[in-house]
Amino acid sequence: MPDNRELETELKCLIVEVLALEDVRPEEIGTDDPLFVETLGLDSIDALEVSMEVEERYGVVFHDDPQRNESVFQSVRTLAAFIAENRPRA
Amino acid sequence: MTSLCDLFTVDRDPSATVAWRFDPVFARERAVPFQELRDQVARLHTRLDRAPAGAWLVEAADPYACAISLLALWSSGRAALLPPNLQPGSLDLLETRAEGVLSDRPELRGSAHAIDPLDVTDEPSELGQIGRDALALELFTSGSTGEEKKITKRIRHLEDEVLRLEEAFGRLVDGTTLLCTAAPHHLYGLLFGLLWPLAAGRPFHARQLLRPSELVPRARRFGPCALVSVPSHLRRLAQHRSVEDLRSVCRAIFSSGGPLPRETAHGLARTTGISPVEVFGSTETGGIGWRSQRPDSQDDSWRLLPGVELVRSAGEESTRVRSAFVSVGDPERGYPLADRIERLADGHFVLRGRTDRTVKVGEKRLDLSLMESDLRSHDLVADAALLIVERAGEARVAAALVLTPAGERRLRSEGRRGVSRLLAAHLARSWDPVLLPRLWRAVPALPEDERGKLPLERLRALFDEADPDRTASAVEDRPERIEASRSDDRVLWRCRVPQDLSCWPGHFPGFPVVPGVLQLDWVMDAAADLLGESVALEEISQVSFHDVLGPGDEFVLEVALEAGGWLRFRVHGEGREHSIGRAKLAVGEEPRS
Repeated sequence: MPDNRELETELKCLIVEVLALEDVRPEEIGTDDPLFVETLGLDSIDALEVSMEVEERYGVVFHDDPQRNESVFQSVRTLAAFIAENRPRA
Repeated sequence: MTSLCDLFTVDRDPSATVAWRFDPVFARERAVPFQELRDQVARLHTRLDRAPAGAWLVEAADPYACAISLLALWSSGRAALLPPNLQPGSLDLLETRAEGVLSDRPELRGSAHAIDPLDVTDEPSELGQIGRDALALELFTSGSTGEEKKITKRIRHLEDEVLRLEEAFGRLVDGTTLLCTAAPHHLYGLLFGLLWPLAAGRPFHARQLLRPSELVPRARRFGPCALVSVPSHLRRLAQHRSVEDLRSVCRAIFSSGGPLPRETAHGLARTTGISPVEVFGSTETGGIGWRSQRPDSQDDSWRLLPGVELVRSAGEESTRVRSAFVSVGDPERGYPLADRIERLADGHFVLRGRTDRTVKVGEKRLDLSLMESDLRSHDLVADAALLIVERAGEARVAAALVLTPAGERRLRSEGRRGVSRLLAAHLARSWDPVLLPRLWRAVPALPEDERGKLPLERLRALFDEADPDRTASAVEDRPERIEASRSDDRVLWRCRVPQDLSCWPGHFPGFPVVPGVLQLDWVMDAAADLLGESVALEEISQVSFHDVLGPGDEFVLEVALEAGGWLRFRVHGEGREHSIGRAKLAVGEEPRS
């Protein structure tokens, strides 16, 4: 299992920051929490905002296949794994 | 231009491209010729003929699957029920009201009443004319609580509107491929993104292209193109570095679902050379008017779409709209709008707000009063006032609450987030997720002016101030330490709450309480003292807040180390428990175990 913990922590901060979430601290977001149901309650506008920010910051481009993207956006862990695998090497 | 009714009866080039579809096998788009679409509609028609008549739920996220579903339902004399959103909750509810489901969701595969519209192997039927007066759509306006408002459309409502769109804008989009970011199950996305290109014989790209990174490269590949979008998507597109690549390949941009911010309209005009065409309308009335906000003009008035009339009798407050696409109420009298409309001498009109408290959030309609009563129906809420504030550039709902005694107890034990999560879950049963409040404030009483009305400005001020829970982290918000003792794995501070904390003006007005997050900050300070290095909180667990901690209160803060980077803490006073719980630390820059 690759260690993406640093990236996961960054993503939690990114989510709280770009969405200006109140009452949520980055460390309260569970790495495996589902992002778009109950726990965090993110919606379709948030998904667009987060995905654009992730593309911008990490230089990745999401899949063309909508169903594969759904699995990328399942949790902070899946999103971090996608970025780690697809970000351009420095 | 073909009428929707004659789509399968007029002569049409069978090899002409009707759509570009993503092919997962080749991982790129493939041109779909008219004969393939026709064949798929004809096979699904046969399959539907063996199934119950009536209205079928169409819940395909793929616009092409949506098009096949609608055309097969209509050609077989059935109507389509379109969901307000594709949330599992709304779909489950609507499935019980429908005769069957047309869906490309993999989890429905094999279900007795669901058909995947693109996976039908029946013999194709002969396709005839589609009945002009047949029931075409049942739509639900998002927003109204509980039982949502159902709006029906006949084929002629859609057919006539598509013809008028071509009359008004056909020249702009001639020879283009249509790219769409709007959802195909909403009236605007359906009309502009699917039915209009189908009838006009222009190819559409069968994917909701939300992100500029997927939209712009396709505009270049399939250009010249026209874009059908909504304000929240266009606002992001206008700010994206790739937007200039749309220049010369994009011929027209349409926007609907709410007003397009002037700076977005002007920004797009500068970077792409295209002034977006904004369309004003509603699910009940279809399109009413349109405008283009140009950088060289202050004019923000709207002109009527062809075939639409606005009428107002003397002494009447509301303006009524009459057209062949209004599908609700008495067509002769026209449908009364809740928008305040001012007619100008040149026949244009200006929107002057609403007569009710309906707002648009993420292109969804929300009646604030209905959601307020839904909140008041909850045990924790005595009174509630909602308003729209801007957060992260987006209009969002904010809630000011007066809590019941039960609500205040909950606030003390679980903090604001505990209360807001509970209330959001309550609202989520009947409201679209985009509409749920994103900011919450508990206040002792709602502000009132001398006439007993809610002063919007004072309400807004509750949310304008820096959020009390965020300023709670201010460095100066520290307790006065009276005494400290320490062993290897345990630290104990005896402290006093200062009379003055920066968070108090908002937390809460006239009722100062040390917020839970601030208590956690103090726990972290004590932990840093114990470990002799800076620490950050990684995770908290089993935390509860009990008695409130106010100005001048003396208390004891205890922190004890546990295995695995966890610590246990307790904040208590004489006969009082303030907070207790466990926290996991991310220590310094060390790799975490």
